[in-house]
Amino acid sequence: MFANLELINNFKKFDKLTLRTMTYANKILRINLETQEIREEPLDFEIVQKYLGGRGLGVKILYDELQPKIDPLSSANKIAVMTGPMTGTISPTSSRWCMVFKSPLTKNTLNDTHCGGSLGIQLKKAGFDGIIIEGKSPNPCYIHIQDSKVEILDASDLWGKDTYETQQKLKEKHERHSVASIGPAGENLVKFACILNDARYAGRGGIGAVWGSKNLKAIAVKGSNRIVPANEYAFKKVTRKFLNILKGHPITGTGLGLYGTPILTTAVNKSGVLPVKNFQEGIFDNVRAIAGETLRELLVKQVPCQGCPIGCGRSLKFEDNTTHLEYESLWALGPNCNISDLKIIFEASEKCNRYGLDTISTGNAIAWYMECAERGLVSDAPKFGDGDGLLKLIDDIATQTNSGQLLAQGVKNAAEKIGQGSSDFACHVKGLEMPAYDPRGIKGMALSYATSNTGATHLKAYTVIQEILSTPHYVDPLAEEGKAELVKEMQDVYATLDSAEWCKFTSMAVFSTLKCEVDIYAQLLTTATGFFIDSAEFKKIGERIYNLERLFNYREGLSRVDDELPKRFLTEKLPAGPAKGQVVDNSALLTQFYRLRGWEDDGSPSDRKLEELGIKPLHTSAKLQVALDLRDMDEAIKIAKSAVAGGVDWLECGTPLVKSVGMDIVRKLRELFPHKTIVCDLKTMDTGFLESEMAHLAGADIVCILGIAPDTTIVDAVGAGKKFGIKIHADLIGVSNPIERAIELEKLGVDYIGLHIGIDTQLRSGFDKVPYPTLKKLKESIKIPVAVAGGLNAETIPKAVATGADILIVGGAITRSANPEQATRRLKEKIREASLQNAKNT
Amino acid sequence: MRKLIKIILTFFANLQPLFGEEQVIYVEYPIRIIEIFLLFKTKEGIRADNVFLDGNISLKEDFNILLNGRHILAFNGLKTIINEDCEISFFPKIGGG
Repeated sequence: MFANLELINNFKKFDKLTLRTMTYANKILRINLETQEIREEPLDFEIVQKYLGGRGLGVKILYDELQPKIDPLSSANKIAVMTGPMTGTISPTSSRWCMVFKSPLTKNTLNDTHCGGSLGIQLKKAGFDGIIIEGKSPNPCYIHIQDSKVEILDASDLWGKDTYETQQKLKEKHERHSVASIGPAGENLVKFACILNDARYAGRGGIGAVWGSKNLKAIAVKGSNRIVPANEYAFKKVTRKFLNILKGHPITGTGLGLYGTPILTTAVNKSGVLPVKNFQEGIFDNVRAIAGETLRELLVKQVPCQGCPIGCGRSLKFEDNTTHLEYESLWALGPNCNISDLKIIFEASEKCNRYGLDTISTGNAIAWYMECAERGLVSDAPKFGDGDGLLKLIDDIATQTNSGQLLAQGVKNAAEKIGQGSSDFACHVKGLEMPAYDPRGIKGMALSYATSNTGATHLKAYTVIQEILSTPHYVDPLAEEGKAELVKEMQDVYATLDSAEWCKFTSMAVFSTLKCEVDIYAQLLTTATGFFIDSAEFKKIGERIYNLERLFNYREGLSRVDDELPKRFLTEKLPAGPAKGQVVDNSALLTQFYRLRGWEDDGSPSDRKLEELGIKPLHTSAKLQVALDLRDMDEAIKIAKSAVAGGVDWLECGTPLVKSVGMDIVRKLRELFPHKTIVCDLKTMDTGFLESEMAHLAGADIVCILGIAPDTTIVDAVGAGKKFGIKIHADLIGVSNPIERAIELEKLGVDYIGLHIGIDTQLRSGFDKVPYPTLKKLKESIKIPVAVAGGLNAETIPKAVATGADILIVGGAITRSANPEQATRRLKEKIREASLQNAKNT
Repeated sequence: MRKLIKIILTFFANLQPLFGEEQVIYVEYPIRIIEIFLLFKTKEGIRADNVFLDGNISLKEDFNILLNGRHILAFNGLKTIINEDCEISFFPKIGGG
């Protein structure tokens, strides 16, 4: 909580603040490389308050602007180059910026790749919070920005040059500019090409290929404006406190600066989870040769990101080779390919840096190919440990020649092409290659990789901190208990850190329990931006971003099956070490995680959760509502549990049930299913306000009233809906002129219309009495969603969906089934198939 | 009858300049982890309990100790009994990734 009275009082002294003095530049630049159009757009502060900046704002922009299913390497893809409210401020580690884009490696997901180079600072100083890059330039080009001057310039003479040369040439041409560029790998559309800015890389997901596909070689920026926080006095004061926390912690104050990230190598190896030979083993025998302690002796100089007190970046020299080497690169090009020769690793790292290749994906692709050779699946691959073979393959990948053409597609695609069971040991999630921690021996990371919206990254929830490094305290890496909560908490907090643009290393010093305390971050954001952000709001922003990313994936067709690890991790036991015998079984943890997130069992965010976060649901598929028209509470609960397990969307407390056991059934279902949408069918005919309020107080999301009721009752119910946030469903049962009345009800403000053939009518005149022509007319006459009830079952549902029903209310087909869970699953499948068919037809 | 067992002590990061990379000690069985701090020293002769322990009873927050690759808290903490050929690894708080 933001509870420092002194700081709050200081706000009062600065009451002349306006939005322009916050750490935002208040403008986004939109550049279309195809039409050469350049325009400035004002920052939408309503959106900024919800998504903050950086990753969050980038995801929001792309979610709104990208058409589903576009090819990430087509001109339809866009790149959001984003800064955050911390970028360029005096807050430690705030030189960061990021790019959000649809990833060519995963095809269906977004990726956000972050960088500690100075481009973000210069962009903010030039007066822009971000750039949206669209279209494809007809010729190689680069973007030049100097304060308000923005131009697209020819880059023909830079095309083909590596990242170092490009940076040097552009810095000679544009003095004191920050330059970000791709190398030949990006030009050649290698799907895991990356971008260099200063000595730091925006590495993951294939952003380099997206630049290459747009003929964009580089961006050079210089700005001269000052970045001023909303409350400069308070911001400086909290910054000093933050700095003291970082300096006083053994990791951020001492360890990372002394040894850099390679210091992890021995700790991860000792824990038996340092992947060796494409994740076949978890212990690297010759670890001493590549250990952080050994590399410490090779230090040329520290190369920190601008203004960073931690200083983990470093330039290292071994014999004739100097390179910037991080833990992940060291592992990917070393142990994962069974190589311990530093000369080879340094040369390989330097090649990747110059070509502009993501080292994690490169090392994974080559290790996978080496295993293919070991198994006799291919004849032209080097063997594990073949350093020269590794170097040659890096050249081939970057230039897309020989077998490099195959590997340049990423391990998922390459394995699909080679076949012969090679997908079983292609180490990725959703197409993104896996980082340097074997998930079999770190259960939190297994869940973290699986549920990451962007594929196998360690940067969405880095539970290695707790599970391997025992910071802030020990957590058993082999236990599942508490991991779903930990992963969710970290995913939400990291999403906000990525949006403010802080380095996640700071969290190692900031978190003091597994609850991931964020008070200091919240104070910094509040004093910097002028928005009041307490710890709860900080985490809520992260949760919103995580859900919107998930919704993007759902829109692209991803579901629970995509939250799974490759077969190797599920069936092959780790052969030795402290995690010997371990495999991954995420099934129970996934279900627990989804519940915790308020997601459906298929891994999609529930409407209720989206509404809570202020995100509009997709409504791509009709909803299945089970009507619990029963008498007994226990029986109703039992069926509700089965229906939820089968994937039902909404639970209805039927009128007979409410009359039999009262509103307790609503309270009980709310307690059991906190994130499910609960419908309370009161068939209200009078006292619209009172009964809607009662339903709301018991925990219902939707209350059913009778459409035949007087308008005054309808108006009162709608009023209660507005006051309490409960939705009003008007049931047309018994209405003689349904179309006319539905139009009136829509005007009166109800949220749903129900076309309902009652049970008594069904019993006398047979089931499936849904009047489809009326349904069709209803859909043409009103805009609000229409629910249908009347003996629906698996056979009749496709027709109801095809006719336009938005909500399918099913009673007996579930409640009287011998296996309600299976029946629900079957109905859901039918709805999904019918919805897909509808989408195709339209 | 007295039984001597061999224990391997390994040190990492900034503990290496103090203790070296590895020390091998022979101790009388049974022995608990907390008792071995009395039995090895830094290169400069400072007894290990003065480096690692708070008031000789608890491990300072700045360190993690692994027994054969697992944190000692996965067993019985400092009271864990050590067996022949155990490897005890001493780490300061480190981070990265």
